[in-house]
Amino acid sequence: MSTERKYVFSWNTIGDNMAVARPSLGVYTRIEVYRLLQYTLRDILEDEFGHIKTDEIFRRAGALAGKEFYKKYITDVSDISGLVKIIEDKFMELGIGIFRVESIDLDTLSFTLNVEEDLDCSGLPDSNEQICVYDEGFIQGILESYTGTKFKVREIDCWCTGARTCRFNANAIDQAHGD
Amino acid sequence: MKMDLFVDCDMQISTVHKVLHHVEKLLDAPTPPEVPSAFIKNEDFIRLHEKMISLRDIMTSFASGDLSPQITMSGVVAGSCKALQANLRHMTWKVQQVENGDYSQRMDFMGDFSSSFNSMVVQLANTIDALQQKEASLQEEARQRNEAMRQLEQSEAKFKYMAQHDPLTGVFNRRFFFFSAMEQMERCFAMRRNCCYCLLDVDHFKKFNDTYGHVEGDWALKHIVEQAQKSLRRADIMGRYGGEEFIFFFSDADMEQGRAAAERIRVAVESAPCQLQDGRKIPVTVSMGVAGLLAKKVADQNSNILQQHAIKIADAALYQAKGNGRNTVHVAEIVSIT
Repeated sequence: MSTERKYVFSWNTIGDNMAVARPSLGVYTRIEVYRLLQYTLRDILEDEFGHIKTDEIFRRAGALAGKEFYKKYITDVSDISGLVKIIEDKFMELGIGIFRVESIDLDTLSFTLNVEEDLDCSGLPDSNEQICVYDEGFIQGILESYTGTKFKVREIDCWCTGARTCRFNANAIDQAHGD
Repeated sequence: MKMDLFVDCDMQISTVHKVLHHVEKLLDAPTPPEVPSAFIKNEDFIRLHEKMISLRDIMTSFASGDLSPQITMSGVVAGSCKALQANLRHMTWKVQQVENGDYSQRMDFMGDFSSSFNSMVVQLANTIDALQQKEASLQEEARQRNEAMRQLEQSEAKFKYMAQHDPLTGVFNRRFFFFSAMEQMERCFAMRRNCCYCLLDVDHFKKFNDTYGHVEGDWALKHIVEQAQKSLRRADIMGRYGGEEFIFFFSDADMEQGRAAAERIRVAVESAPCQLQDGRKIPVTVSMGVAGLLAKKVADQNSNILQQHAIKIADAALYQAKGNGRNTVHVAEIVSIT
């Protein structure tokens, strides 16, 4: 397989002057369009690589997005409370979801976080599958950027499993033990 | 055949009633009912029973403030429980942030609770702000009061110093010397120790003033005081008696020790010529008269009278020292007061 890169991510790649680019339609699109992209892409990736590999790809993409999100929006943060506030505001403003903290333990670097009205899954039919792997990566990317420590983020409740909210456990990885 | 249908139908209705009755008990009874024996092998019934037991436990935990149960079921009711659990935990976290001093926290869910929480935080922030302003104002008031107190104490100390010291040389003035020396003398006699009074007069000081001027004369007096003080012990006292005369009290000193103390001062002054402002060095000397007070002979006398008498004797001894050619020490003993 060729390792030649064509689209290394940068914010320039996705354009920024929407007033010029979409003077009539503006910056927003309908959520089904976003999901159409995500779930068709997922369809093809699963077909090509299987669902485990696809989850891994989505998680990696999410982590990259989380890091880029952190770099772009979280430029001046003094403490964890400030970080949470910025994420709450930005998630709301960008329509990603309603971000809420259930608990944070800074000694062990373990977090329980919620995203309500999640962009990826809210309203999807019950499937008994935690589907928000992209969100897992996204949160991982933010937390790793903030703490400088590797994190493992897993969704513990999802709209798709009947919960009305998506809940995530995030724990710093003990690198000495690899988990 | 018709009868059989009726019997089947009755049995089904009876079964439905039993299920509904069990569900009702699961919802209402204080302790959960056992699975009826008729359904013990019915998997659907057991699943429903366990689900409702789980929900009962979850709701009981929530009602008692325990938000820790892990909800593993799915479905709308379980989902709502999870949402409630998540919301309550999030509210707890918000309250903890407020507790840590972050009054920017706001909520936008859980209806009336959110608006009450938001109002409370705003009120709290305003109250704390007002208290902080008040505290700052009180601190400023306290600071000003402390500063005023410090200045007052400084003035008091300054006035006290001025009341006790000679403004030119910095040694005790005559009045405070008498007071301090009296105390020290009484302390010596209380311990049956001897002591001495001593007078010092700068030799030919009038001529010095006439030759070099009064400014240099003042400078010479300060220079002499500096030399004398280097020779004193901690318990000794020095004061300005008047003009170019200084007075000393030597604690715990008999006549020979008094002489030695005076001699040290005389030598110190003699060996350190006074340097004028133009750089010239002018030799100065002093004459000294010492009056020795022997405790065993005079301790019972009135202190006031004794002090006056001692100074008188020291003055006579000084006169004798001057008569002996100046730059010398003369000692006299006080045996009794006549």
